[in-house]
Amino acid sequence: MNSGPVLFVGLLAAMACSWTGFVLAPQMQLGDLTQTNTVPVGDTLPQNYPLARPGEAHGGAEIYRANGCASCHTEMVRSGNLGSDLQRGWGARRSLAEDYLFEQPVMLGLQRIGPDLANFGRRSDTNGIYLRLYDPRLITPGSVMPPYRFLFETRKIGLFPAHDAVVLPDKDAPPAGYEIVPRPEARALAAYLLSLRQDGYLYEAPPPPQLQAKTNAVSTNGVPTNAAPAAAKPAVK
Amino acid sequence: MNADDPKKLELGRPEPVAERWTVPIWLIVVFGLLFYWGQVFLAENAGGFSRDVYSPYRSDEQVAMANPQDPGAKLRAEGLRIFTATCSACHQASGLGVSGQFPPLVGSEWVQAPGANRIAHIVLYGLSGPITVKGQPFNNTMLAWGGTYNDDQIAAVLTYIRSQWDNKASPVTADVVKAARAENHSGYETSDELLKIPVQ
Repeated sequence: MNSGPVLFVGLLAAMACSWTGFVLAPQMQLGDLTQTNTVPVGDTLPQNYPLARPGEAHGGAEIYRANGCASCHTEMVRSGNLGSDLQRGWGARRSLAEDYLFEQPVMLGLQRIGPDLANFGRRSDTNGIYLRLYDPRLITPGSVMPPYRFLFETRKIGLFPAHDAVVLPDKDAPPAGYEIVPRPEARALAAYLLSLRQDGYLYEAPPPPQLQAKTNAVSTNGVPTNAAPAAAKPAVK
Repeated sequence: MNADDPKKLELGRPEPVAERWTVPIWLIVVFGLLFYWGQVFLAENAGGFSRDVYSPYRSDEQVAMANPQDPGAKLRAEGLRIFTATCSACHQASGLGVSGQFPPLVGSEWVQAPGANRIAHIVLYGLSGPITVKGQPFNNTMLAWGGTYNDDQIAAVLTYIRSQWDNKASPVTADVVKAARAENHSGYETSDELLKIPVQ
């Protein structure tokens, strides 16, 4: 018995179903997504969102990609009913499709061996990022993240010390007369990590009611109030 | 098939063929129930496949309800449009007016009165002659806009100037404008006539 046609029709149906579900339906749903406005909290003004990354951060995204950071770090905050991400201070709101509008490729990540980085730019600074890359256990004892020391070089201090030399604790400091300087890759990666911010509330993920209390008071008398609470900044550094 | 087994090596055995079996009815029922459950789940949780619905919300209505409810926002947006098209020519986009010619709206006691009766009259019927605003005397003529804009539009622009800049006065309903229009005043208002109108 010749089963070829049956096999062909079966395979085609399986392909067509998954293509419809995973490619066509999302394209119809989100394909024409564009920049949008944030939902203002208090008397702040709506902002354009998302904004494109600064130039150096584009190169940093490639460093992030090349070093496999996305194997252990995600860039996706789940909503409050699906996980503890918000309680951990990984973001003020859940991640939305808009957040990835300018990402190419989107590096959502595979699994969380390390913390989520969707809002890392909101809770870190340049030297903190250098320290974590140079030796993760300086900041997080027991961290399983490998050190990325090849992103740095130990140099003899010239006429002046480098403005962005890594500030290390005394026991890890380089010998006198030397300094540890980030290579261009580390600078780009830091710029990328600092650009990771899913700022502002959007229509799909509006501010929580306690932040809206002021905003709603506005509507009753039509007047914006001045004492607006700022969006909660994650406490975890 | 074990190649060492002599019995399996005899020639002439027919080629194995795929046999046809009827799918058991219980399997069809199980798949039917799973499919039904999947459809019910999507109907309840997918929010009509709307792009605006993300968990934890389940429908467009829930998302709309969770957002700040600000009925004055549309009114102020319409007011801004009218103000820019008409009022800002004299009173300026900043609402500060022109010293000695056009009175300011920012911080004006006329604009920020507890009720909008008097400024509704001004916008509807215009104003001519001397008037004192924020202690400064003005003597000019403002045209009547009652024929250009309807009650809703005048209420919108009054709401706008009463809540914009540093002004903090209540929004204006179209009823106030309607009542002022019903008086059918002839000609321009004057400052003395306005002062006879109750503030609220």
